[in-house]
Amino acid sequence: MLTKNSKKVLKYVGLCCIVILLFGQFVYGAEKPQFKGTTITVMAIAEAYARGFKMFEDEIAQKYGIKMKFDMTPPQDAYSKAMLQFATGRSSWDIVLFMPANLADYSKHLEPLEPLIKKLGLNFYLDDIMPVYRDIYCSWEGTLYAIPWDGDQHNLYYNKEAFAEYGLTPPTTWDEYDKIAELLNGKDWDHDGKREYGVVEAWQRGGYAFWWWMDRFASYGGIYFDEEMNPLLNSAGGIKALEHMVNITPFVPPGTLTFGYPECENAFIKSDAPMVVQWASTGKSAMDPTASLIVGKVGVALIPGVIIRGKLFRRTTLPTGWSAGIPKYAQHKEAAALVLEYLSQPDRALKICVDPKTFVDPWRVSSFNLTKWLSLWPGYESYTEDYLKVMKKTIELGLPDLQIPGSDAYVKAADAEISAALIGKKSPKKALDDAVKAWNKITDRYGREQQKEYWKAQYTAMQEKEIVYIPYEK
Amino acid sequence: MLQRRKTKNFLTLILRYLILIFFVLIALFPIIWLIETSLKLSKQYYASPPVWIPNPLTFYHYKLLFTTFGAIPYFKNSLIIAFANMVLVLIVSIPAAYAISRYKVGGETFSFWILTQRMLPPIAAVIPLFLLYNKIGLIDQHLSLILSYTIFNIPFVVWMLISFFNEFPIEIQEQAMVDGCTELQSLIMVVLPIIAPGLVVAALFCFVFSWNELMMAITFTSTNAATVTVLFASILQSPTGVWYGEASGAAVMAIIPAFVLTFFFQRYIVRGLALGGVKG
Amino acid sequence: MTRKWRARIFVIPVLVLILGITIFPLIYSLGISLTYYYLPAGISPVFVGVENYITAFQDPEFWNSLKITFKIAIPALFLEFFIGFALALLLNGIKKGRTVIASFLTTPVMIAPAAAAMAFRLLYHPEYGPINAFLSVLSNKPVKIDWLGSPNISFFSILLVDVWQMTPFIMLILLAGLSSIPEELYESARIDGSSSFQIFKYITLPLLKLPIIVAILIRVIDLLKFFDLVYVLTMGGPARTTETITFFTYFAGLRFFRVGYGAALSFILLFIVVGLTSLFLKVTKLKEIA
Repeated sequence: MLTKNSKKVLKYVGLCCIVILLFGQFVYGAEKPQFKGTTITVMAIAEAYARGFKMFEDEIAQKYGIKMKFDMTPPQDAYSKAMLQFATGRSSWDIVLFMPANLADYSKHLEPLEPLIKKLGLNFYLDDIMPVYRDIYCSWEGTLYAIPWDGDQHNLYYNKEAFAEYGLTPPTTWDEYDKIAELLNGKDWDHDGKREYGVVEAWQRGGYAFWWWMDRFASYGGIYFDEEMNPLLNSAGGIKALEHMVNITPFVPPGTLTFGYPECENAFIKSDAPMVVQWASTGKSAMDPTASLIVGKVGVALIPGVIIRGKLFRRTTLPTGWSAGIPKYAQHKEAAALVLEYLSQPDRALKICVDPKTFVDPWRVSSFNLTKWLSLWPGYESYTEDYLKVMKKTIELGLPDLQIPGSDAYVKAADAEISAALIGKKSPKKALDDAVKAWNKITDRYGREQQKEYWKAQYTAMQEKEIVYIPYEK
Repeated sequence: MLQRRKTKNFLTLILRYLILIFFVLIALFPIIWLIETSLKLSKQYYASPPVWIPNPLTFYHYKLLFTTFGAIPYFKNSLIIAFANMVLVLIVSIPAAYAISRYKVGGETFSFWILTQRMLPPIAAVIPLFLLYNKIGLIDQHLSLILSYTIFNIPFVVWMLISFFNEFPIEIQEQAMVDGCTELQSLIMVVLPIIAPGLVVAALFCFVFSWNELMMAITFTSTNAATVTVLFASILQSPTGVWYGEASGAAVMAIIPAFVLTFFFQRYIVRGLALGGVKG
Repeated sequence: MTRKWRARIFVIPVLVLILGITIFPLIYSLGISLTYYYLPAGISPVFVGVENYITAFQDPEFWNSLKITFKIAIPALFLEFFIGFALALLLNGIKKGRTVIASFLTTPVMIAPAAAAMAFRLLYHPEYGPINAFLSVLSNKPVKIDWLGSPNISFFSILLVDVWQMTPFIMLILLAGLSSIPEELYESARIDGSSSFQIFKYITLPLLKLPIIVAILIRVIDLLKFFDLVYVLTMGGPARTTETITFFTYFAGLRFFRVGYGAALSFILLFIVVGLTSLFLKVTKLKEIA
């Protein structure tokens, strides 16, 4: 029961609200400039990323008069294309999606966001962004240069039916992982009359083998360099990590050495392999009945860990990911900032993640709200719950990518050595020794002192999140 | 005796045909498979054993190609670039080839020097051209590719045209000049119409070479001037999905000019491919 | 002004284009190849002399790419030449349907190498590809050859695509040569009682010398530029087993931005091509024949 007085108050409050809303709308409209006829170009990498922009294309055109054009340059080329233009002070794009691994290089050419936020009165709800993405994947030496677009990470996905039949639970250590791969290989665990494989990974040339090796190396406490810029790849944990990979080579489908993300995912969702470490979008694809043969049979878990000094140690990885920044040389910087603000509002960021066709994974704290996800896979609520839980935990435990200049060159050099071990051309130790040599060469080429500074900047940011090197001993 | 020999000849002839048909199958199969894949539902190209005949046929991938993947600008760019390059190459090559053929301008060394341009590994030009285009703002402009493709098209067309001009009976042209034409007029009004079929083939080759090119296209363009080869290279390398149907569709569309050329201009292809260097 | 002088004006546009788009960039590139030039840092090139060339000769990856280029080029050239020659001889022996068959056989030649690579990516797929399916039927047991992913096969799988595409090219050139040999030559040889082999050896081969040389020369040059197939099929993998020199140079120069190094590598490749071609021309005395 409301008293008369309180009713009055309510009325008053209501009136105030309406006035504020109206007035706010007015002020809002006055403050945000109109950009009628402006077309911004977005380096969008792939359809599944561009889709997030396209979902709100009409709304944005209506609200601000801004149109969008998309550049689908694949990730392998995106960095070099952008850098080559930036180097001469040009940019075809107003918004670039980029891998945070290249942030050190990009940061020199991106517009810091704080001044834009102040000038245009934008609100990106920065406190609502998962800290590692905000502070490490979008900021360089404390300055914010970008807003996350896709919160990438590696999780473990497995075929529950196959696991149940052999009485297995998802592996918690890499040793178990290897054993399960061996056990299920060559068995017809989906009863389609053909023998299947034990596990699948993506080892394609150009970074994949390195990322899948990093999954293990991170679990062994490994990071990229020590404080003196000596590569740690060939440390005891690194060698163990590569031995694990070599162990499973007999149990992966043919073609694994050429598999990238899509082929690897495909082998899992077409029921050729019962277990896979993959980006979170595989968790969506596996539930898509138009592509997947294992809808409803998927389980998700953290990637395995390692027993270090008698305790299970877990450190996950956050490979690639995509951040969205505005080049200094862009023609329509303010329009681009408005578009980014519009798309990254918590409700829209969530909408983009929940859409089954985008490969965008959540990066806002508020995006992990279970109730908003339940509509995605009706009938599979427990999977949805696990999916969100695992993603969130993975981000909290995650080791970020190497971000210093030349990170591409480092990754590809190590990648080539790791594959040399996978095809049996080199022993794991020899391969990683050679990778260390290659890394030192790259460091010298880019200037050792300068690289050391960059690495220090990244390592400091990592240490603030308590991500430090833990030497592995049995 | 004669009878036996005839039978033997007949049998070898049959064998010849059988072997040739076998190779025709090998030559065509990959292309047929590409077309089939572009018309299959994705369930059918992820099938083991493979589905040999798509059922049902679907144009879904083409639809996606032209809507979601926005293929039309890529085709437009390819057309603009290949066509403009063709026109440019013809305009500069016809007079040059004529002068070399009729007046031996620069002697054998010069014509051979033009031919040697074709040996140039494209990568040797791509790196500096990239830096230069970048400096003058030609990156992602149609002009960058229109100019770059002259590197391999000019030597080709000049050499092909030289052989046409060499075969052209000089008397016809001289007659026209006696009748009051200037040399340029006689070239345009008399010589070119007669060698027109050859010109068309040279032009088409130019067109197809430009249309097919990958390395320069992926290096110099990104949105504004990206070509068809760029489109399917990027679909194929899409980090987020295996778009085999769409990539196959794009590849099918990309081989159409080549098909037209092979089937309608078969007679001239030999000469074209031999770079005008083999004098039959 | 004499006619010859006027004719010289005719070649000026071509000359200007070649100088502008090829020669000037090459000279510029030669300059760049003598510098350290890392683009993203936004610094100007630093002169380092021939350091990049020395680095190349000490770089095992460079030697590896060179080795792989020849590992692909040599078998490809042999297969293309012998199959192409055989097909030309077969075609030359028939009259009915010759044009049609030749048309069908030559379809692969003109299509974009990247499109050909796309087609073979589908054919080579270990699970869903028709090649393994066909082999499985033949051998009556499941065949799962990893055409592009196994280090010992991938280079061969790539060169097979080139063989598929370019064999008809050699066939066409040789066919043109064959059909220009007058029938009377064969007739008189047969009347003299020469065997088919003798006719081939003493009439056909010598008269085909020029087309053979031209065909091989063009193929050698193109095989050294090998890029598109690698780019679409394997990206140089697995490990570095299909990384050709053009591919390696492309990555060094335009992906890792060792621009100076890339330029130096491209010059080394240029010298190899020019060297091989002139050697070839000298040995075969092509200029004199033509």
